[in-house]
Amino acid sequence: MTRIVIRKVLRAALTLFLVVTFVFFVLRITGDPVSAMMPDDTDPAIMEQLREQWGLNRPLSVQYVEYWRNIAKGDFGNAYRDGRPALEIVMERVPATLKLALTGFTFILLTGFPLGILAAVNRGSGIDRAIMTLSVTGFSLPNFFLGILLILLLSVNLRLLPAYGSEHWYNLIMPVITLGTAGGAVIARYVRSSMLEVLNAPYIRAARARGMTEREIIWSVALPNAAIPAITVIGFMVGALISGSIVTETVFAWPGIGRLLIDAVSSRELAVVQTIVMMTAASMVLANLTVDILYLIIDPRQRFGSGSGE
Amino acid sequence: MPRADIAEHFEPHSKLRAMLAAITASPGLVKVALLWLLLIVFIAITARWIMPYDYQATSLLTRLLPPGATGLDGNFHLLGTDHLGRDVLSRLFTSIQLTMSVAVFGTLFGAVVGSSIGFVAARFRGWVDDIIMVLVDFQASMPFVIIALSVIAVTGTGNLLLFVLLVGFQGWERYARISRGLTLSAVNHGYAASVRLLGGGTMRVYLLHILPNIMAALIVQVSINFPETVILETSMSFLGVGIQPPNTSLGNLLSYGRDYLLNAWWIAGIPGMTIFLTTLSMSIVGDWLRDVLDPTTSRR
Amino acid sequence: MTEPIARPLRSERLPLQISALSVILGGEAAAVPIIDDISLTVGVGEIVGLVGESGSGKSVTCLAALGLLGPDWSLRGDIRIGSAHLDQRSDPRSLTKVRGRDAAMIFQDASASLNPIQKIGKQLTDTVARLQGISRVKARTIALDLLHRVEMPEPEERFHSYPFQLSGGQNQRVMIALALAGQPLLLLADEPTTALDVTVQSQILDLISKLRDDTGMGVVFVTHDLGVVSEVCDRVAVMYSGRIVEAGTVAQIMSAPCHPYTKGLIDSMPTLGGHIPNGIKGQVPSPDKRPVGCAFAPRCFKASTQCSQERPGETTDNHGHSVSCFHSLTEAEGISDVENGGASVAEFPVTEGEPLLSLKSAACDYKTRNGVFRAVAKVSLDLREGESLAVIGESGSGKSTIGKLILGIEPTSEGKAFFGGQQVPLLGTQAHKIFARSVQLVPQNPYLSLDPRAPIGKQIEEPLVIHRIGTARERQAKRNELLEAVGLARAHADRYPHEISGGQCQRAVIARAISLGPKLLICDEATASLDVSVQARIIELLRNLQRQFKLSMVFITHDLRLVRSLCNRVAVMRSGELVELNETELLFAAPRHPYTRELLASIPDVVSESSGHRLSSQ
Repeated sequence: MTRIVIRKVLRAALTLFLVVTFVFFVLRITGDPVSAMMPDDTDPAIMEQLREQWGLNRPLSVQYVEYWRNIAKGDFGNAYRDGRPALEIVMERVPATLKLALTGFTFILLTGFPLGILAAVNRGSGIDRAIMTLSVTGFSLPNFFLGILLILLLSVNLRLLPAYGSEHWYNLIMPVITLGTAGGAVIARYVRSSMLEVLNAPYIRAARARGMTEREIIWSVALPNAAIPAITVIGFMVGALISGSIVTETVFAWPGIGRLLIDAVSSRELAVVQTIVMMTAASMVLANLTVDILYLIIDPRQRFGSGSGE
Repeated sequence: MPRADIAEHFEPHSKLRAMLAAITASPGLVKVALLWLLLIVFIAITARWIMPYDYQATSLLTRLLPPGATGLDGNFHLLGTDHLGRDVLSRLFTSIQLTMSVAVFGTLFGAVVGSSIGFVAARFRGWVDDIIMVLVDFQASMPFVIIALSVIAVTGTGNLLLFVLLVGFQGWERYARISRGLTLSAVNHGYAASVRLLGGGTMRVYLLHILPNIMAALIVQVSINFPETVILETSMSFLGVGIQPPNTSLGNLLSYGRDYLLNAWWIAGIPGMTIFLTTLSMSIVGDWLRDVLDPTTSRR
Repeated sequence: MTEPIARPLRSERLPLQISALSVILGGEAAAVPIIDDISLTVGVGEIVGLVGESGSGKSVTCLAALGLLGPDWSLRGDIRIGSAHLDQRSDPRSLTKVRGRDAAMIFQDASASLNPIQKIGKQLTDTVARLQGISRVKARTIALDLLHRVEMPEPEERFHSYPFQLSGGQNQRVMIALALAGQPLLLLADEPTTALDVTVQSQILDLISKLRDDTGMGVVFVTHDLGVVSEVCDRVAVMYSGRIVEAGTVAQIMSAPCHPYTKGLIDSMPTLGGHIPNGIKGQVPSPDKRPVGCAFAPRCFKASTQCSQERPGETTDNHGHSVSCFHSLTEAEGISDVENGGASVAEFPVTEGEPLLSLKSAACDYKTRNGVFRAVAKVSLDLREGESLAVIGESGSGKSTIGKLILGIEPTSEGKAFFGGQQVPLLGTQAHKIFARSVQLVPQNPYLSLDPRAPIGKQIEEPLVIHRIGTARERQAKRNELLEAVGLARAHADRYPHEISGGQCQRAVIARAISLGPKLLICDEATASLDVSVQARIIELLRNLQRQFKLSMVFITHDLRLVRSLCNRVAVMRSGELVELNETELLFAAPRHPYTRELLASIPDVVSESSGHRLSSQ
């Protein structure tokens, strides 16, 4: 078991290494950061001076090592506009995004799992069809449009909620629905199909042949087995939440990382962009690692390296 | 044995005929979805000729006209006008054209590149496979938008070709996984192994046997990937980091319309609805395709 | 509503009484009777075999008895299990009281029939507690006792194992223990030993017999293997296309079958005596295409016009032997040629001189996560031209790896493999392409080895295309020749694999394998996925091809019964080692290695092995 955990951790570390390398090369290879950041009519002499100052004239390999050294020190570079450390700028925005993402995550789990189970248990019935229709609609609805629809409905027409703002709890309602609908729809679908797969397994029939009632079978045999593959999706959800928050925060003027990222991309604040990319990657890798370890805990087949026989 | 021959009729193997038969037998909802997609494709192809006005022509006299109104200049606007007095219908048509082109080329590009990478991994195994799989895992664990945005941050907006390729790249890792997985299972214990044992070469095995067999799975993946590409492109355009003016995509329309929600819902509402109906139709058709092409429904 | 279910006294009630049962699939419009009016009784302490080819409705009968078929199914007639009574109006809730308590069921794939994420001890304890209504603490003791009763090795340790940590045989023991948890009157056993190795199968069969003796429960034993039937059953019902065509004691059925189908099945069985199996032509009709009269008529050698117009009624003699046939076989007709056995393979001349194939202390290692696994350990053997060699072994014996070494799919880790005096080239090399003309494989699963999206004819021609032999027209002529040689019609050339039966598919695979005129054919469990009646016909085909084309063969199989009529010599493998290699006749007459003896003793044979005679009629 420890061997598997070590392997997973190494894999996570490898992914992080790849992310940093990827960011480094995207920044250095695809364009010149200086000309990307400075206005086009900047004096060439100043540009040269900046390159000198940032060490861009040195060989790539030297720069690469330097890059790592800075990251290890927690130095992600400074914003061009006001000279503040990029990390500081990003960290200011973390709480707002975290609040949105965690509420969104809860929303996804609380809608996706029950709906998926309900649909699977009532396979082929009206309930199943209704849930599946809702699910297809949910993930076909682009979240920027969903956000606008919600504003039109709840703010413009019904005047129930303010369109913007982030101070009160009710300010969360529309952003969370916008952020979570697609995720909830995907999870519901996934849980349904994994539940159906389990309900068709030979051991369900065998349990039935031993006189277990349908209720006992669903709760004590099918659900634990179906939950195992469904956990994988939670890992994906973290990624979906991060990408979803970019749009959601823009639509609702939410002061989080997503909006910061768009602003930084538009104004080419590369230091801020790279900080956000790396933080995203780190949280994704962490989420996947957690899921992998969770897997090991609840699935004995994984724990024992599946198959002691043969 | 001859009895069996007579008893069992020969199935039609003409692909086109089979496809038509499947469409005829499809549920009503699928037919509606197909019809909508047909309409969108028609508009995308003929936009240049069927749009009533120049989509860039502004007119301060006819600003923010509601759908079905006629402007002071006597021009009829079926879907109204926007804040600069431009005809929404014409802008919608030209946006559909661009959005669909980006989605089609992008998806095809991603599908071809992704599945080729999968084939390469399965063919060469060893360290090639290892490296590709590490990249696939890496991609699967990074939200694609973030990667796309970091590339855009460096290259800047406005490069249309780069943007199409970038958007198309989304989902390459899933094509790679599918083609690699199915190829390996075919090579290891199936018909491909038999052909190899008969002396068949790599090209014969991969192009004549494996590709036609995994085509169905790849098509299903395309049908899943296509709406995702549409959403990615329109999202990025909506955020102002995708398609740049004077070009316009459905996402751009929505982003302009956002500021006029209070008094001119149609500027954002109509293109938004168009995107939604299109992605919804694709999902419905995709689900149906999956059932038709893959009756075993066992997929990972 | 059903009558209340009370626990009956053992001796009073029959464990199972099925009367006029029909099981229908689908709604009113497209209703198809899968089971068509069958009656079956199982007495106390009786084991009743239910035999027939796949698609005959054996398993559906068992599932119907416990109400385990899905909502698309409906049933007519009635089923009594002890005092419980089920019919079409039965409430599913009352069925849950019957299941496990009055009747229990075990399945073919035991490993997949256990909850994969729960320890077997917990599954047993929970089941005992629920079915007997006692506390978990008490149940645990009983659960452990059950593991002892099913003769689980090291039961205390196994109690804490997960199903994936146990072998298939051990999991089947757990399934049986679970079935015993509710002390049922009736055990429904659906092919419980089909997936197991013969030595394990024989242990499980002994266990079921013993438990029947101890508890007096009735058993329905579903199997396709008549050998297994003669081993464990008291009575047999032969099913064909949803109907019971013949029923009686094992002795009656095996020695004096009255229905042509029963005789066909018996004749299809390979025996240790070397009987040449004789198959039944054609295939089981699908239930929606069942003929009006006798369903077997199209395949029957005695069929008359009456057979295809009317459905024969059941007649029973005064010994309780019943049959549904207009042309019941007389005793003389019923005598199967099984006993005539002893066909020799001497008719195939073996050339002297240099061996065609030889393994010289060839070993093969696989790399696994836990290090190197030696699949084959230094095996040496020769094969002369025209000779056929059987490689026998259970799962994990390395028999298939031997095939891979010969075919150049795996390299030898030590030693060498030679063909025609030259070392076997590795798959994928240029030399292998030339080698491929001489050595070909017939694999186990024909559906997997044919491209599902190419017509059969094109696939048979493909080797000729690959090796650039002949013009398109010549290839087509050759293709037709091959189709004929393997007993397929020309029309099959345009069919796709999923449109034809398993037997026809295997014929196509064989046609493709011999298209290049190979000298050596490797058959790796080539008939294992087929029904016995089809298997017999494929064996016949292989024998003919062997003679016609002077083919040498390596016949890899787990079934010793198959090889006597087919192979000159037999190599017995166990855990990668070659334990015995001898002339077929000598090996059967005087096995030297204890493992060979164990194998021979484990194989269920339609001829009782103790006396050497067929079971005598009562």
